[in-house]
Amino acid sequence: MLSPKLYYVCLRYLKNDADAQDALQETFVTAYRKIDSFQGQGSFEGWIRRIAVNTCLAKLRIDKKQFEQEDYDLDKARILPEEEEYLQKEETEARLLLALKELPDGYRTIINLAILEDYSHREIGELLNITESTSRSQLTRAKAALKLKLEQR
Amino acid sequence: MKNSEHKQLDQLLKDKLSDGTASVPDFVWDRIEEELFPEKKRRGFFWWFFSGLCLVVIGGLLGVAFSGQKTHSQNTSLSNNSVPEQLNTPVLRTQHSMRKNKFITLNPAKTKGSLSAAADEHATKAGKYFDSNPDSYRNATKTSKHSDSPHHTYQNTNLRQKKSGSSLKKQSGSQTKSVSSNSGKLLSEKTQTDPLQPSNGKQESLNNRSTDQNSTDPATHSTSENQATQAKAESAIKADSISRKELSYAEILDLVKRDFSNNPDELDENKKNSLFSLGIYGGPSLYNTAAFKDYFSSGQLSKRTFASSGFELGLHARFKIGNRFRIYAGLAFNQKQTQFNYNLAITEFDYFTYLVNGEKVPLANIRDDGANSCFLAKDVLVRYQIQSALISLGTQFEFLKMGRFSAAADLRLSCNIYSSLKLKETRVLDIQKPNSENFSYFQPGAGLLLNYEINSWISVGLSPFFSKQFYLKESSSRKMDELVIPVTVSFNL
Repeated sequence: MLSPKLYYVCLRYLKNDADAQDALQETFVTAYRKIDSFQGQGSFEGWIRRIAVNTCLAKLRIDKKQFEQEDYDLDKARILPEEEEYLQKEETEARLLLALKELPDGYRTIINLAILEDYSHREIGELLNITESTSRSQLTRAKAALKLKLEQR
Repeated sequence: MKNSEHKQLDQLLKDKLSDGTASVPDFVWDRIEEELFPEKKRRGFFWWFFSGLCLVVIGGLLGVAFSGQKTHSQNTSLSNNSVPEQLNTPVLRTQHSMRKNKFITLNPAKTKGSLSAAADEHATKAGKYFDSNPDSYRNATKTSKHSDSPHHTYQNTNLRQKKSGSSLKKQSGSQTKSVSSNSGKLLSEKTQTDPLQPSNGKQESLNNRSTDQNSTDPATHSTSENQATQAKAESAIKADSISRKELSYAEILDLVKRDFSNNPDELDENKKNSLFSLGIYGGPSLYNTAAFKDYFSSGQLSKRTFASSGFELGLHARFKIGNRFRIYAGLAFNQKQTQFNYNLAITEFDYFTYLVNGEKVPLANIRDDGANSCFLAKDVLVRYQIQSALISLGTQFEFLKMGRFSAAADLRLSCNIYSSLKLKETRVLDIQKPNSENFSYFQPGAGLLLNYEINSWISVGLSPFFSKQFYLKESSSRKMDELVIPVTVSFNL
């Protein structure tokens, strides 16, 4: 079944469950109406997953300003001592997901796209209307912010 | 963070979160179904709406029919009841024959049982003022005016009676005394004391016979005393006849009025006083609207064309105030359709990466290495449908009336009770959201009502009406001016 996977994708991108449910609904409606555009070149799962991701991005409407505003989190993360203890802990899926949800939209989106969806920085740049270098730097900051969140737990 | 830490974190995230699942709440599926297949629900609404409208119209028509029957039955019962009660004469029972044949005579002999009762009634009224006073009675009756043709027969009868005055003089004093004292009594006594007069038969022949009998009666002798008394009696009879005429004609005219109440002129007069009327209208809607900027104008649009069509159906219940003003409450259904055609290139989430510059760009020429290539589009056709149900309050002022034609100014304020904006068709590009939305607005307007009265019940007309919509929630996408030109059918209740 695709729907639990797609719903999980939506939950990863969006902060609250209601938004994720809306995004899932829109994903299926879009897929139903655009089924003609699926030409069978790739997997259907990949195609519909892409719709889900784009739907979530459309909901987030991230722009450059958001990334600029989120830099303070990175500064805080740098101040913290580099400890690897948090990695040694057995991080549960729920704890990771919660930490991810607590991140600002921009950071969460970058992590989702770059790490979990394997998008290239160029693709991310085009999707979010930012440059590749911005995408890279934002990913670094996002990881640092996530690490901070996990340490605080 | 060290490079190894990055890798560890990446791996951790991938392991834990990349292929996770979560159960989807059931209501999400309901919402998806509702969005994909909304027709059932919408159709249901419109079925209800139109059923209600039809019921109101049918109810109105039945009301018209019922009120018509009621009026007719009232008239009929009035005519049936009034004739025998007021004048219990066979002649008056049939108004048509009465009119045609004239009133031949008033022969007490014939109307012994029936007319005498009416005469008694009349005499009772008259007796209040003229009891035992023939002179005053006579003087009073002189003021009565009689000029209609049916009176001729009465007058003829009187003349005959006058002519037979000499024979009357020969009649007994007791008879004349009773005559002068009370006309009703006269009638009854006369018929009772004259055994030669039959109670049936043609009145005219009876009169002649009576006259002949009187004139040839050898047993009667006139004296000077009797002459004076008989002269009084003659006058009393004459006065009574005139009085009877007045009574009869007043009643006759009244009955004629009632029995001929299906006279169209009379009904017209009644109908014009009707306060309530029901109007049904329907017609095309000419309107313009903004470009739905929220969803279509944020990108590079080019060669945009626009087409629209629509209609409105409605119902007005009107209440007349004075001769020229009407206020009304209404219910209407309005449907519009808007179609845009334009060329554009669009990514899924409103980032217009490519500029089309007003020309068609072959898809192959558009370079897109990203994930959204399947959402690129060109030559877009978008068709929207807007439906509204409205309630309205308004007033009409009739400023011109020429025979059956009339013209009225119409001011109205409407408020939507239901509205829907729905994306019905996209030929190439599928706009993700929203496919439909609800909105609220007020719609003041002014119009003209040109009316032609077919008959007292039904009028038809043309009522162009211009209105402007003001939305409760600020929106740049819908600024609508509308001109509806409906044909109106009105039923006067």
